[in-house]
Parts: sequence; structure tokens; C-alpha cells
Amino acid sequence: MKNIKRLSILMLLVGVILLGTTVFAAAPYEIKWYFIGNGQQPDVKLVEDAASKYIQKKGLNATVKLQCYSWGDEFNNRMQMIIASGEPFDICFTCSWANLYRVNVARGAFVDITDLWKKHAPKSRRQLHPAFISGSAINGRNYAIPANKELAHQWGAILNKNLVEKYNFDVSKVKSLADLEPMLKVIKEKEPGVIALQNMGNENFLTSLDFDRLADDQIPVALYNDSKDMKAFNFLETKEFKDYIELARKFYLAGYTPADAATQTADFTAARRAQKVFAWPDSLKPFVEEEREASWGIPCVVVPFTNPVVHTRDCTGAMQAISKTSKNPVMALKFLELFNTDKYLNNLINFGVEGKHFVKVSNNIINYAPGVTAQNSGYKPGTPWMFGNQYINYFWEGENTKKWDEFKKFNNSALVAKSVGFNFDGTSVRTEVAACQTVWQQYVGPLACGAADPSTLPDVIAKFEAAGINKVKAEVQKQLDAWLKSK
Amino acid sequence: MKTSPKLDHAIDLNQPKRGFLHELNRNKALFLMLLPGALILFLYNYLPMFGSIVAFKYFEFHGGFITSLIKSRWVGLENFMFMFKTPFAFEMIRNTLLYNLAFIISCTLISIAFAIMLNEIYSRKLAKLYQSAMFLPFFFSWVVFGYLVYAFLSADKGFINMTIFKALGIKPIAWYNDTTYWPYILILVNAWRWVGNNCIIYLASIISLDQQLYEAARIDGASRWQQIINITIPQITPVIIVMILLFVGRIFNTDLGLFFMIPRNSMLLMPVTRTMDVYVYNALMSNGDIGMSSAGAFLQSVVGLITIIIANLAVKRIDPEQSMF
Repeated sequence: MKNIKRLSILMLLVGVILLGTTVFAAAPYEIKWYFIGNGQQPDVKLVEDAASKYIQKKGLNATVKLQCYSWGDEFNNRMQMIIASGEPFDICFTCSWANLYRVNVARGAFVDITDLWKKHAPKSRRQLHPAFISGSAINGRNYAIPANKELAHQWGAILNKNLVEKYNFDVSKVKSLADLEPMLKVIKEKEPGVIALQNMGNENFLTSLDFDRLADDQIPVALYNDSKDMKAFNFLETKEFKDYIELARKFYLAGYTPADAATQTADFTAARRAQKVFAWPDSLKPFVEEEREASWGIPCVVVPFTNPVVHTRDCTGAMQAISKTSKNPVMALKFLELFNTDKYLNNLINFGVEGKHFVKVSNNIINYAPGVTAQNSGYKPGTPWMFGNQYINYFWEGENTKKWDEFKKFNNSALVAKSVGFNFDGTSVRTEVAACQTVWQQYVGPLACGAADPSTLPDVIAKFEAAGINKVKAEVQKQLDAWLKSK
Repeated sequence: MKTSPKLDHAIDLNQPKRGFLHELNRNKALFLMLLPGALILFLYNYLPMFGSIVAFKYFEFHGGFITSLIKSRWVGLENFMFMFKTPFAFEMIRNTLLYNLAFIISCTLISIAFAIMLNEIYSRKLAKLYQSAMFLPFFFSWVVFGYLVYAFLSADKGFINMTIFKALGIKPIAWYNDTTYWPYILILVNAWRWVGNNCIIYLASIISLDQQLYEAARIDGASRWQQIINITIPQITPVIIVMILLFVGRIFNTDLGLFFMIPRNSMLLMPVTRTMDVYVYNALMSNGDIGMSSAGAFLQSVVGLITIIIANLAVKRIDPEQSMF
């Protein structure tokens, strides 16, 4: 009798456990995705629900959780903490300028997807330009899926079109930063409260020198784009850099640049959206002005300062990686495959819910839903250019539908640097890299925005040398030579 | 009147030793009161010590934190090198030590002065009001202080540049670009936050002093000032020494909140704001190497331990009764 009682209790327990595990196993897996954009959007829950429902219909037993951190330092700082603490998540945005791809790969934060990618996301692999796949591989292994977008980069300025038209500026003759000077003068005099040149400590026109940067971020080891000898140098020692910081200083002293340019770290786009900025540095590509306009709601004019070029960094300019802490990397990959190739899902996460955030004007063209504008929309992460596959994005009404053809032309016209595909591994010089980065943080931003006097440059170079920049440079050269030989 | 209930708990030497459990049972209430503090101490100060081994490893990710910690490879002292290979090594050690010295001196002097003044105020109500007002900033986080200071010092919107200097016709100063003023600003802001807290500790010990000493002094015709110099200060010396010792143990640590939030991590101010913690923080944030940053914290703790032992030895030699251990 007693035994039967015991047995029945045991059976019941086993039953409960079995039931529990099956229910647990059947519960949809939550795919957690961290990315950079205009910050977490108020209506993100609507989009998550719609996306979860859709992918379940497509056979993925999963739900989607989106977390968008804003531009500026927020995303990077958050990701450092999230990754360092070992928090479980599935997908994160990674690239060569925030949440650094190479550093994270060196530390083993991402899943090696070389083989998984071919097996579980073949379509998103096939649709990419081969340079994306080889350029984003580290020692022949892939750790992230690049967004299918423009391959080359081009640097320059974007100007507020309302102000350009108000003062009848002729931008066709502007070929470099120095050419902007007369316009900055007018803005400074006639438009109090408007920042003439948003040349900031950590987002500035230094990019327009367009060196082929070989090592980690904040390490000034570079090549010229058309380098013949492939000898790496410290670009702080070049004449181009010296000329640039002198110009930046001139603009700073003239009051064109904000007085707190070196110390301001908040999101710079807020001032641009509020029409309080005349000119700012930006990464250019065909029709970038339309994209900015759609995202920020202000009309823009583009002035390129450099020619289109392809660096390794461009192949790693916007990617999604799968975290080693993911409980289900295959599910995450299958989701990315769908996201990269499925028009509905991709546009849902980029632009929101149809009817609520946007309405279709025609098959491929959308506009804001009635009563919704760029300013008050509840879902505007500002991410289409870096997410998945640009070539399946809807066009905003008024946007040029020839865009993707222009992109292909743009990619084909670009100069491909000889170093494309070379990825520096800084592990062996990591203490020097860390020391050099603290030197960079202190000195390069203030020099680049003009807050610091260019006469301090020799001293800054000496500081870099004390921190071991020459050792880093030698290591870069060693790896570069080995890579060139193996090519 | 003098038979206080305390005597119940005094150790009775005639009784046989009864062991810890007996002690626990006898002083249940006291141990219960100790529990939350001890628990927090264990969770936040002892448990993380295990993680210190990351300072000797090249940290790589293998799933969760603990697994990663165990699986990462040993690298000896390599992680510590980034503290010395930098051109800022001297600068950050100098800043750390000098600021802490300045903080010890300024905080101690100002706190004692305020404690004595509060004690001298006749109206108890007013004294309480001042005391609470001074204590309030202690509860604000450094983030709040950062914005308060920014509201004063912002180059183009700040109160000082836009209101005071404008009214007086003084040229505005780009506060966050100019290192000249920051040592004073930091010492001032630190005092602003800490004085209220320290003051209460000193005030408590002043209030508990034996009033008979003052009565006797008054009968002998001692002035207020003489009473302070000859009775109050010598009587509270043990408290002062304990407070300073506690501070000396942390002389290689700085409050990151103060040095990071108040100057808004302005790179132009680094020569006067980069302490060891700021350096470690910035190095970690750019490349997220927790091995190296733990090495920094580990180094600070070891040096802190050494300084506190030396300081205690010094106190012991001068006056054995005042030493902590």
C-alpha cells in the first residue's frame, strides 16, 4: 500500500517534470538583438510582436526582442559591459567603428559562423559581393554577416539645405574643407544659435584625410590608399595631418566650431535635426542626402571631399554577429537569413508597421502614415543602411528609385586599396595598443576639432612613441608583409 | 544609575569558555543587527576577490563569466604592464596621491571646524537645520553633481560665464578646456559632498565628550577658544586618527565618479584629472580588456593594503593606544 503511494507520487513527479520540459522546449526561443540607431523606439513592442508572429508563420519557433542604443558613446559603452559580463544574447551589431569587430573576435566574443553560415543562411551569403565575405574574414574565418550595401566609402560634409538656399551659397565649387570658409563666416555672423561647423572631438573631418587605417581604432598606423611600397606609417607625422589640424584650429578660433567641441560627447544628431547645425562631417554614398532627410526630416546638401575608396573597414562597416553567449546560434542565423532576404520582415524592422508608421504609395514606395512625421513617428530607428540588405528596402516617396543602380556604379568606380582583406591581430601588442589608445583619446580629438594648439603636435607624437606606437607599427608591418606574401 | 545593562554582556572571566554558539545565542539581537552589514561586506568585498585572478589571465569568452574565467589562459604579469608602459604613469600616480592628500587635509580640517561650530550653536533647532543641509549633498550621486557643476561651468550656457562674468564684464572662460582651475574645483566639489558626512561623525564624538571637563575649565576661567584647543581637539584625536587611517588605506584609489563625472571626461583636462582609476576606465572602455583593468584595480588594492599597514605601524609607534590593530 505504502509502496503504491510512493510509486504514484514518483510517477506524478516524473510526469510533471516531463510535461514541464516539453512545455519549456516548445516555448518559442527569444532572439535578443542589440543594435545602434536613433535609440530605443516607443513603438518597438508593436514591431517585435509583428516580427515574432511573422517568423513563427515562417517556421521559426522564436520571438524577437529588439534593443536599440543611440549613436554617440552609448551603444559602444553598453556593449562593452554586456559582453564583458557574459550576459546571454543572440545578435549584436558590430563593425569597424563601434562595438569593434576585430577586438571582439580576438577575445572570442562571437561565434565562428564560417560553416554555419553556408549551411543555415546560404541565400544571405550568395547575395553579397565576394569582397564583403573575404574582407570581413579574420584568418580566413567569418564571425559576422555584413549588411548588403554600398561597398566603397567616401567622406565629406553634409550641409543644411535650408541655410544653403537662404544665403544662396554656391556649393558646386567646394572641393575641400577649406573651401567652406566663406560660408561658415556668413553663418557665424548672420545665424546666432546655429553651429556653423560641427567639427567635434570624436566626430570630425579628420576622416577626409582618408588614410587606409590598418590597426585598431584610435591607433594612427596607416597606408596611403594608392601605396606603392606598402610601408605603414604613423599618420600624425604626415604633412596632410599637420595642415588639417591647422585649418581646424583656425575654424575653432574663429568661432565656427562649438567652444565645447572637444568635450561634448552626447548625440550630435539632435542639434542637426533641430536645424541648429550648418555643416557636419558624414560618410557619403549615392543619395545619402535623401536617406538623411528621410531619417531626420531636414533637407540636406552633400559636398564630397574624397573619392570613393574600398578599405577592409568598409567590408566590416556594418555587420551582425552572433554572441558566444547565445543559447541557440542556429536559430539566430536562421532568423538573420530570413531578415536579410525577406522583404516584409526586413522592412518591418527598418520602417515599422504598415498602416501605423508608414503607408504604401505604390508597390515599392512608402510614405509616412497619416498624421505621422519624421519628428513624431513612434518607430524610426534610422537603421536601413546598416541592416541586412539595402537592396530589398522600400523607397521613401520622393527618393530616387534608381538608387541601387547608382550604388552599383559607385562600388564599381571606387579605388580598391591593396590592403583589402588584411585584418590586424593586436593580441601580441595589446598593452601597447591600450596605452596608445589612451594617448589618442587625450590628444587626437582636441587636435582634430581645433580645441588644441597644433604646436603641441610634436609632443603628442612623442607621447605616442613613449606608449609604444613604433612597436605596434612594426607588428602591423610584420603581419602585413606576411599577408601580402600569402596572397 | 551607573549600573548600565551593558554589564550583562560583559565577559565574565569566572565562567568557563562556552564557545561561539553560546555567544550567538546570548547576543541574538546584536548578531542579527550585524547580519545585513556583514552580508553586504561578504557579497561585495569578499566574493569578488575570487575574480581577481582575471588580472593574471588573458580573458577570452567561453560562455558565461565563470566558465570564461576558468578557461582563459594564464599570462603572468603581462596585464600589469599597461599601467607602466604608458607615458602617463608618473602623471596618474602623482594625481592620485596629491589629490588624496589634499582631500584628507581639506576634508578633515573643514569637517572638524564645522563640527565644532555646530556644537557651539545655542539654538538646537538651527544646528539641526544646518547639519541636515550639509548632510544632504552626501545622498546625491556624482551624476547629479556632474550636471550641477556643468550648469555653473558650461562654456556657452553656464551660470558663471553667462550671468556672473557677463555682469562683471569678465571674458568667459572655457572651463572644460583649461586645466588651471580644476585642482581647486575638484577639491571643492569633493568637500561639498563629503564634509556633511564627516562632520556628523566628529560632531557625534564631540557631543559625547564628558561635560565635566568643560565645567572644570570654565571654573578655571578658560575662554571658548581655549576650551576648543585644549579639551575638544585632544579629546577627539582618536576619532580623527581612525578617520585618517581609513582614508590612507584608499590613498591609491580615487572616486571615479568625482574624477570622471565632474570634469565630464574632458580629454583636455586629463593632465590634472587622470588618476589611476580614470586611466583604467578609459583604457577599458575603448577595448574592453577586463584582464588589464582588473590588474589596475588589483595593483591599487595591494598598494593600499601596504600603505594602511605602514600608517598603522607609524601610529602605533607614536601612540600605541590610537592604532587600529
